[in-house]
Amino acid sequence: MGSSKKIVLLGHFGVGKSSLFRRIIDNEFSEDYQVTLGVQIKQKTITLENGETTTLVLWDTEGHEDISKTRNSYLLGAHVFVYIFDLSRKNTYLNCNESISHLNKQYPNIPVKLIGNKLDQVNEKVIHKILKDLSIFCDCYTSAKTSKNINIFLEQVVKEIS
Amino acid sequence: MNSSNVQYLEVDFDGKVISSKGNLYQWSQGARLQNTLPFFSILEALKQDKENEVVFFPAVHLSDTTNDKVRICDIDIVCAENLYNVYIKDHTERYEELTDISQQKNESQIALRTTQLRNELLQEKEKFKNQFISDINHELRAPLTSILGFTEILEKSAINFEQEELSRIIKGQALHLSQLVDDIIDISKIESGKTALKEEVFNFKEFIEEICITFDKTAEEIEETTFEYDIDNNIQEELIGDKTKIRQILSNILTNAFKFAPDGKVSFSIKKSYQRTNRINIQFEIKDNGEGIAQEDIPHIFDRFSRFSSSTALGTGLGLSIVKHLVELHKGKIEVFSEVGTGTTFQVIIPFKFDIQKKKSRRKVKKYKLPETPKKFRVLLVEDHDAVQYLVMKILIMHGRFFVDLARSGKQAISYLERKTYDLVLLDLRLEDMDGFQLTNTVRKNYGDKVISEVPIVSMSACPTNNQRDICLKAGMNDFIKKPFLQEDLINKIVKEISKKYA
Repeated sequence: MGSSKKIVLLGHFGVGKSSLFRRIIDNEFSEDYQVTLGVQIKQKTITLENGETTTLVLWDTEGHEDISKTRNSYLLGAHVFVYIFDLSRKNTYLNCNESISHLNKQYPNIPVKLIGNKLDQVNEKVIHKILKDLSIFCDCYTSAKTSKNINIFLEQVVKEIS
Repeated sequence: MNSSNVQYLEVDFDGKVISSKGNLYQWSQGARLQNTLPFFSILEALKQDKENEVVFFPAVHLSDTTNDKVRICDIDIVCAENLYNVYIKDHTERYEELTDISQQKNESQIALRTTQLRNELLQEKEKFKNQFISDINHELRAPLTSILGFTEILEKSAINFEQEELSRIIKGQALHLSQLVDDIIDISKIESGKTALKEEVFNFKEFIEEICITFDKTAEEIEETTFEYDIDNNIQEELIGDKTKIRQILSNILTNAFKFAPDGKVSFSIKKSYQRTNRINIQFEIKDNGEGIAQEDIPHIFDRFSRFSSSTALGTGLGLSIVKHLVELHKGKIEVFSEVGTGTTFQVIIPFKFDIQKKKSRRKVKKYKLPETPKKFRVLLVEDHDAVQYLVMKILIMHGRFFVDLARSGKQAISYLERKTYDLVLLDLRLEDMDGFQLTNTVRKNYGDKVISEVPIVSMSACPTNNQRDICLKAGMNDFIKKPFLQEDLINKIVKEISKKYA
């Protein structure tokens, strides 16, 4: 297991962390919202660009509006943090820059990827403009429902850990 | 906690089980924990931890690979000299109860936030729609003002019979387009709940007579149509109500009656239907002997853009829908009776109030005329639209009693006012550098010289609001004229203000 990489999914509740988790692990999606209490952990083996395989251990954490309330033990040993917000709910991204700053300050060596999820529920052009006006710069826009950009997101994560 | 809910393990730094006590998981000695539960890949990260420091992981979902059962456990890991002590406590039942509570709380918060966002989006949409209507209204009315104005000038020039006929058609079409713009704005205001009733005292008989005179003229123009009207003399002379909207209701129905009975008869009767203390209901009945409406079409007559007649008469298709909304706004009632080949009757009942203390009085309408003097009056036209500039200048110069200076911006207007003396300012409300309200405020407040600060200001605008005149008066202007306007109306407003100034 030396080559396993820990990826922690963070963000407000209901932003689709568990949906992304299920889409990545089992390639499944459900419309029903199911709250996550604590943390659920699963792994997926992927092939890196150089042909080697690695195991991604995904930690799907309980959502918090305030990132500082996330259990520190869940974040221990992470290789990448993925901060996810809901593109259709403004309050989930209004404070995302502060959340990322908090992570960068507490864990300066761990890269943070910013993901806007539920792309299927918004007008792409409109949301790009809204986020730009708020100086929010996403690494990737995804839809766990339609699978849109899930592979691009995974590629970005892999690039960080390679 | 009973022992079946707890598991205690000793594990080496590679994650291999040294010893295991408890019934949660069946691990044999030497088994690597990470191979069955990915959670234990965390052990790698804990190697650098201080000895005997407890790291607590609450509510970890652990899947049992042997039976797919998920346990929600609290896990303590303590790093000892050369091994880990791991305590797993199964709290699935307690956490499942908490999950239900958390689920409800989060769902209601998500629903609240989603509703808030939806409301914000609706408000944005409404704001966008209103701005769009306001812009399109302005953009349409400016050229309409020019078309109407220049057609009127053309009618008065030396043109032959055919040209006269063509200009009459252009004017008719422009007036129709103007009506369509008004109707669209009315519908939009009704939909957004922005239409409010005004209460004003007015002479009811004079009001009805004004309407009847207009439609007498319509009947004369059509020639083959006769128009009869009858007013109940028992109705109070002065009533309280929104006469602008009542005129809109009656004019719409009467216009329809004339359209659908082009060579027949239109009758208009007004009678008292109910009276108590200071309230009176008046029934207006408009009857035509035109082609009538089929019974199955009557329920749809107030729908937008519904047309059931084979007549080629021009209409916006919005008039009756507006009528119905306005009657409902008055808490009145409207009914339609019709028979194909016989004609149609509209019955409208509108409640009014009246002042029981008030003595009968007849208000005289004051007629204004320019002072008898050989001098010409100086008007400053502040307008940035080329065609409207040309039109207004042409109207005023053709009138023969005015000199006109033209300012294309607010700044230019102020410069003119500081240098010359004007009898009146004719002001477009939408200018590029400042709006008419800002300019009026500057003129009224920044100058000690009364020649400037008290100059009469008549504003012009394509603004869609019905109370635009009130807004302008409140802002310090003397009067307001809506674009597009007829020459006669523009001249009357200018004459009124100049004659008041010299009175």
